[in-house]
Parts: sequence; structure tokens; C-alpha cells
Amino acid sequence: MITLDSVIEDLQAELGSNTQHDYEHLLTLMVRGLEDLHYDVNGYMKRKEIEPDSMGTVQLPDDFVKEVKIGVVTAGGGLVFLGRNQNIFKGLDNCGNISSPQQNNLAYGIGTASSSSVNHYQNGEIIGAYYGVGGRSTAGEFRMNRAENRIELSSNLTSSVVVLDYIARPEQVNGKFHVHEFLREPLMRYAMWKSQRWFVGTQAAHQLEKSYVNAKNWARVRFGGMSQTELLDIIRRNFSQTPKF
Amino acid sequence: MATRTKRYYGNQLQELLYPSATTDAKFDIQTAMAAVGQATASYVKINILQNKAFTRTVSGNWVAEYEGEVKWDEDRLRYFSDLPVSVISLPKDQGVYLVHYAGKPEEAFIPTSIGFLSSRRNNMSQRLEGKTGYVLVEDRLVYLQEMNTDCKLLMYLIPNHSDLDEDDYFPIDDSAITDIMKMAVELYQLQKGIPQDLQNDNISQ
Repeated sequence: MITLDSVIEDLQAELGSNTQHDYEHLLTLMVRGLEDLHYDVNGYMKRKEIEPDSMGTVQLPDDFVKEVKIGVVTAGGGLVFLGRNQNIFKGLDNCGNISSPQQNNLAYGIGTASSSSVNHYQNGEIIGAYYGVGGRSTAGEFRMNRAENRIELSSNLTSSVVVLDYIARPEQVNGKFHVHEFLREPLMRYAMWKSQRWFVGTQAAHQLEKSYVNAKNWARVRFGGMSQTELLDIIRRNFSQTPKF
Repeated sequence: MATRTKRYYGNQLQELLYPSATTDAKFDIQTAMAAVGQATASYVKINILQNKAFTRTVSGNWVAEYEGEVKWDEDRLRYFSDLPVSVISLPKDQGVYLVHYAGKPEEAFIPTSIGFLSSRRNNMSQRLEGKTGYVLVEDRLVYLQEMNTDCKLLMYLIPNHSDLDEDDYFPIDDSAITDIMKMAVELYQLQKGIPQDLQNDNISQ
């Protein structure tokens, strides 16, 4: 990994600038470029365990951009993912706190975990199950409430901790951005394009943009590159050596 | 004593305009020095920045080195450094060419604009990657973060002539002297109507 600072220095050297008067401008552009590349090229998924509050909601992390998966941990240590349900409702009470909705018979659908277990358990034994019910995650469901910056969970959640896999904003370590070596060139092209596009005419601006997109594509290819061993491993996954006598 | 002083260039201009002028001439040495200073400022602003508009680099013998120190302003609760001389007004405040701690030339301070902290409040570039940021306010540098007041600063400035003494070093690149003299002559073209004062009799002609 290299620092974003060193990429700016490279660009300053390329431009022939030996003072710092463009530094702040280039830094602002490169942070924007870093976000663009992070989402399109080398963005990594972040995983966080979060405990829902008493009302079954989870506040989104500060660096949250987009959810990938939301799940709970099973007894075996694996993850079971929750189903998305945009009909989950969490209202606010008079004080502005999240309140549980008052459930009525219509809203209480058939085929929920509780109803099925009661109806199919008699005299100490399981006597069957509804046919054709379900088909979704039984671990629980969630709704993304972006307006309130939270995840709302269904009341039948089977775990006290939710695991959130999400795409995060690029982060700083000790106040500095660290970027992959492959991103050096696209970042420089991005800053060039963004800083010059209003001053160089349409044709040249288009070329600068093209130069950035090319560099970005090359970076994507580099990141996606596989070693020969990895390729062989994939090819041979379903084969085993013939026994030799 | 530095050889390239304001007086040195003033004398050159006087020689150019009035080779036989005496010390009591109307176009005296003070006027000549002012003319050279103003012409230099114009030259840097117009010619250098136009030629290198892309990089905005001001190079050559235009920059003078000064020492400075960091102080704490009790009233305004901020760290600052006084500039030893005022600087030419240039785009992006390039009159302050480069500043760093004396022992750390590799970590140059980052110039920012007034209002930087508020305009970049929600931007991740606000921390300047841990570098030292400053704003040029009048004749002082105001720092954006806590500073070490024990360390000496080195400042590379493009000085404004009016703040320099006659015998202070006044940087002008050799290759530009002819052009600057020409500009100074044009600036004081009207003065050419003044007859040469050939007699040193304390009467200006």
C-alpha cells in the first residue's frame, strides 16, 4: 500500500510543480477519485456485528455506503442471511422514539414460525408442517430505512446479534489514506481530468476522461488477475487422481 | 552586504534613463527603486504566471529566504507566524512560495484559503493527510492546527519591494533584468520630460 500523499507528489512532479499551492485542490479531487475507484474497482466488503436495540432496529455505521448481506450467526458458527421485507413497519411514538406497532389479526400472517410450531407439535412430538408455506429466510427479515439511517428487523429474529456486510467509504489510517499501488495511475488521471476539464476544451477534456477510464480498466484487470496455481486449482476442483497400482 | 539590492537595481535604472544625473535630480534614487520594485511585481505576476499557467510555478531567482518563528495568539487562540516582509499578491497566494520547519524541508506546509476549515467540514481532505496547513492573512500565516513553537521556520517569499530596505537582498532573475528595466522605463515614461540635472547644486531640475 502507498499513501495518497505520495500519489499527489507524483502528480505534482508530472506537472512540474514544486510548491504546495495545488496540494489541497489535488487532494480534494483525489479523495473523490478514490471513492470512485473504491466503489468500482477495488472496494472491499466490511463486516460488522451489531446488537439490535430493544425495538429491533440497528443504526447504520458512519462509513456505510450500501448493504451487501445482513445475517445472523447460527449455533454452528455459520451465517444465515435475512430476507428483505419492505413491509416491516416501525413507527414513532409521541416522544419520537421507535415503538412496536400494535399487531392485529390481519397483520399476523399465517405460516410464521410461532404459529406453525404450535399447530404441529402435540403430545411431545412433531406431527408435520404446513405445506407450501415459507420459501424465505426463517432467520428473520429486515427493511433498509435509509431516511432514518437504520435497519429495521422483523420481530421473529432468531439471534441477538446481527452481522452486517457492507460496502464502506474509503477509510483513513492515522489520518492518512492508504491506497493500493494499482490505483496510482487511475488516481493521477482522475485528478488531471477533473482539474483541467473546464479549461482545455471539449475535445481535450474528453481525452482526459478517456485516459482516466482506460487507467481504471487496467487497474480492474490487474486486480482481477489470477495466478496459474489458482486457475489450475479451479480446473482440478472436481477431479482426483486415478489410483495407481 | 548583498550585491543585488534595491539600490543596485535603482542605480541601474537611473543610469539607463539619465546617465549623467546627479544625486539631487528629480528622478532620484528613491523613485528609481520604486519603479524597479513595481516593474518586478508586474513582471512576476504577468509574465511568469502566463508562461507557466499550467503549473503555476514561479521559479528562478525570484524567491528570497527568511527565517521565522511560530507564536501563540492569546486573543484569537491560534498559532501564527509573522512574515518578515510583505509579499507580492499572486494567485493562490504564491507570494509565500514555500514554508517549512528549518530541519524538515521535506515536509512543506500546505497553503489553504480563508474559510478552508468550514468549507471542507464534511470532506475527508480537511485533514490534509496530516500535513501542516496555513492561511495567509494580511502579513501573517495562521495555522490550522497545533504547532511546535520551539522550532525555527524557513520561509521562501517573493518579497514586495516596499518592505525592503535599500541594501536588502532583492531577488531578480538575471534573464529578466532587461525586461524589467524596460517595464520600469515605460512606467516612468513621463519622467523623461524632465531635463537631466547635470549640476549638483541642491536644485532639482
